[in-house]
Amino acid sequence: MTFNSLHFLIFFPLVVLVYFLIPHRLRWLHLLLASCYFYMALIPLYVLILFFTILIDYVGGILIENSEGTKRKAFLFLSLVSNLGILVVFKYYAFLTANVSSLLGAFGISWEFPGWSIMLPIGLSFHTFQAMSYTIEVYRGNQKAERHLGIYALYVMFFPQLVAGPIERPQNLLHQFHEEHFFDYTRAVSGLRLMLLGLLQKVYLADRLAVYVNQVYQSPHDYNSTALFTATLAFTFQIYCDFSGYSNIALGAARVIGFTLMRNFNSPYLARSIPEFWKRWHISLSTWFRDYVYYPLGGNRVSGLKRIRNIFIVFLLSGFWHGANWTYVLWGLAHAFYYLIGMILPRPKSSPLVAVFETLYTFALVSLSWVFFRANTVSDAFYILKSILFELPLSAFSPAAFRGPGLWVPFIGLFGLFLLEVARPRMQLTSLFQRCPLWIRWGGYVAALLLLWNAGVINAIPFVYFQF
Amino acid sequence: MKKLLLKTLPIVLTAIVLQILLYSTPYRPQIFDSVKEFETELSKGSDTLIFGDSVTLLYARDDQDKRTLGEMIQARLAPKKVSVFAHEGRHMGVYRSYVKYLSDNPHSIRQVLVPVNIRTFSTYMDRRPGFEFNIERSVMEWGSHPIAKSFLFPLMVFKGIAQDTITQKEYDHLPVYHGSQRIGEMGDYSHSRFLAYTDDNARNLLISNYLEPISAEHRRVKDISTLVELCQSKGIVPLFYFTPLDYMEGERLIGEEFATQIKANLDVIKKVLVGHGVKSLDLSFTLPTDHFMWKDHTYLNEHLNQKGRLALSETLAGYLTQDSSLGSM
Repeated sequence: MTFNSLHFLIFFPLVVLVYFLIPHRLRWLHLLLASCYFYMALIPLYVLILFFTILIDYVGGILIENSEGTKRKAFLFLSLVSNLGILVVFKYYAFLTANVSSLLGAFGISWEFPGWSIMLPIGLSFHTFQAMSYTIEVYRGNQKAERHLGIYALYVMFFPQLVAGPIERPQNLLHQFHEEHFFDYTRAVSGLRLMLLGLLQKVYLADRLAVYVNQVYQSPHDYNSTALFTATLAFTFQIYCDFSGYSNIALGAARVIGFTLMRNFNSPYLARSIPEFWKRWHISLSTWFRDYVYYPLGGNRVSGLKRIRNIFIVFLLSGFWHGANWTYVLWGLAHAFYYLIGMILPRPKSSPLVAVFETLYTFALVSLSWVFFRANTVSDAFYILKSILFELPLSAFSPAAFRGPGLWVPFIGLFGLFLLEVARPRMQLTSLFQRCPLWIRWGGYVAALLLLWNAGVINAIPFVYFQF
Repeated sequence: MKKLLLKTLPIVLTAIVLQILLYSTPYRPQIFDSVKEFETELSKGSDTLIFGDSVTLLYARDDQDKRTLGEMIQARLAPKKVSVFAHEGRHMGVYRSYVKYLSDNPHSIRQVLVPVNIRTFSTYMDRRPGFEFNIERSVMEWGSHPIAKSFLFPLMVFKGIAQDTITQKEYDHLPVYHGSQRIGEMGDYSHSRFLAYTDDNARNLLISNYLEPISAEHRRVKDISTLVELCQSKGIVPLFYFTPLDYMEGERLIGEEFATQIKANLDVIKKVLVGHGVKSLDLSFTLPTDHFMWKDHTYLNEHLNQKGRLALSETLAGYLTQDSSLGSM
């Protein structure tokens, strides 16, 4: 089930209603069944893979907690290998075998691996990473092993964040399933408001931008540099609206039923450097890599060369996490290079002008890296980059480039979103909105609903991050 | 929770009222283009409407006369005005939806000519992604309703109405039947339409297009009944004809069973038509193979060439003129 479907718009109020009507002791079961239904509405059989990982990590967590020394390490190792094994089999098998075959072919050895044609289970990378964070935290002694199998299953399967995060930590989420939540009007309204914003980001902005982006990126050689530039800029906003829209709906839905999920985005395109961008973009994944890969490798407290190695490892893994394709690996590498350059270059003295320049510079670097992320092949990506960097005429920056492909409609909305993000750290937008007269607040909700109903596109693509 | 419901309700109701008001203006999203196109055809003021699909629409590259079947019939019946609605891939379900639109709106149509293209009843055509036309059908069926029309677009955006009911992957795994025998999966047969004309490719297509038995419970057969009932309730005369097929090629490639299975399938439909007291003209086995072209488009299929369209247009013009319950035109 996707958030932007009628199915979900019926499912969610029913889940909320039943949740607050039944006694606390039954709520975990209700949420677990709802989450199963939510997941099985996509491909029912894949729930078995989830059950398998849940069982392994549930047992793994208890065994880790009850043992010490090498045994404890061995149980963690087994749990991690099982999780990563599932990820490799379903997500990376075709990529790895194709590349090994090509490599062997280069040495004149012909070797064909058995075929494995299966659709990637939705959100596999997300719930696998969330499950791994549980066993690692139990191993580190930061989290007590969960004895209630149903609650643990819910930790992995909680429907608002099951298929595209945020990738939660057990310390933040697990205890919330044990606590009794009472319906809170203010909290529910704030959750619904967040869901509405997320839906607008997806339906009105991301899906509209995607129409042009898909058209151009499908056959980039048919388009000139202006179109490639415009489509790349459009994708920069599409991916943000798509993913942060999803996260907002997830956070909002969880908030309505009384749960707090971690914030996944914090105005990333307003970052003034690449390291800052990574503190604001897909926060749950970047902190996952920081906590479970970068720090264990030594983090910043190692020699310069080792630090460079650590940065490359983290970004390569991050690229690979996104997909079994060299384009994602290159995207990760590009960010590793950006990160290193940012470390080497001295930062100018801060001033408003410098701040604007740094923000634009970071935005340009990030936008260019998205070319690798979105292109269908590596050669397409390099063709698009060459075209944008060396053949772009000045006319590409004129409003005509956006009017032509009909992008002005979502760009009006993007301007609104930009104002919102600029204003957010400076003023208390929520309380400001709540202080507005009733007719303005209600008028805003009505306008948002009308926009949602009329500004979307039919046959829109699912959330981009579902495929990871 | 009661407070939330009480505050949400007026907001949602206001939005609903405004949405209905928006659709009482001339504003329409692109999905309503089919209504515009159909309205243009109806505005001619003709009393006859002809439906059609690719069989009657396409022409061969070397045809001298590139007119569609509809245009040929219009020319034969001139100066009488005839409206034509023909698009590739359309089937009985789509025609039914257009007739529903006729039954909901004022017009001058008094008879409709409906082709029964038996291959549109096959799983190959009927279930193929992109060929169910659910969006177009919903717009035609509900586009005249003052409230329903206001929410068709939002419903489509939120996937309440989907263009297709299955994915390409699911389609590829659907069974292909040769009579009662299951002989493979659709993916192994349907791709033949994109290949060069060879006996094997043409045979694969003919099998998947024609050799699956159909029953009176088939959703497109039921569409016939609904179409007829809608017409009869509004005093419109439905006239059916079974489109010609390249039976000679079918017999050459498959044998006698080709015609046997098709006749059995035609009988199922004829029985339904007879049950409703409706006339039909069976032209399935009337045109020889030189009246068809197979290779002139991006996909393989038996479409009528100039010779075929001329012959068929003559027969159909006569059918409309002589057999029409409206009398001589």
